[in-house]
Amino acid sequence: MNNTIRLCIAAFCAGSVTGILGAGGGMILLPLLSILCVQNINEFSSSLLIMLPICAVSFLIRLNQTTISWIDALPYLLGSTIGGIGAGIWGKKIPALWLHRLFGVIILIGGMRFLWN
Amino acid sequence: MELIIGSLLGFLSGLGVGGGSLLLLWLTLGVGMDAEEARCINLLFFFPTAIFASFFRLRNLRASQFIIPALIGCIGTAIFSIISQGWDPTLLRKGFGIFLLIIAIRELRTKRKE
Repeated sequence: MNNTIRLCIAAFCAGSVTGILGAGGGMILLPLLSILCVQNINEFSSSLLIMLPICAVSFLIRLNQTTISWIDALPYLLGSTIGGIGAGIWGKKIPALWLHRLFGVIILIGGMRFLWN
Repeated sequence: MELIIGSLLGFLSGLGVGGGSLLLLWLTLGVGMDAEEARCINLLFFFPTAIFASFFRLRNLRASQFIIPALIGCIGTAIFSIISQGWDPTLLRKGFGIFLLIIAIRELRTKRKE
């Protein structure tokens, strides 16, 4: 199968999850790129480039159906900027293994609360 | 407090550790925000993180090879964003919970990368 087609399949799946849940598309895109054996790409950077327009489209569609408080959103957006810059500058120096494990524990708890709350 | 949490989650998101899902958890379970508003903020949250994190990593990357996949992804998100608006919110909540459990298992099984 052509590499671009594999990339398109992965992107469609990630877009679908983002469309349904409003989150999580990037989290399935990365493993899908490996599972589908997409070659000759930087997986992390590629997922960012693919997820940006996907998130934009999902946001615009949802914004049409709901209202958000920009005052509530602003601190998180500013934080996102700060965090993103920090990740870009120092990210490669941090061993990611324990971050993944910590993240796993937190979302395990969160997932159970969503299911049984 | 929100700025600190946003910065921390933005940092994690920039590392590819899924800060967006954590933000959604925080906004819905921690702050008690409406789920749809939380999803919108979560989607918006991704932009600064992705733009700045990728700015430092996009050397030698041919952006043109991602145009078609990104378009296909946008089609998928458009279709399912519209379709899912008629779905039972409880079903979506449970579905998100199952999704998080799957991701959690995968993350906990992450082995040290070379």
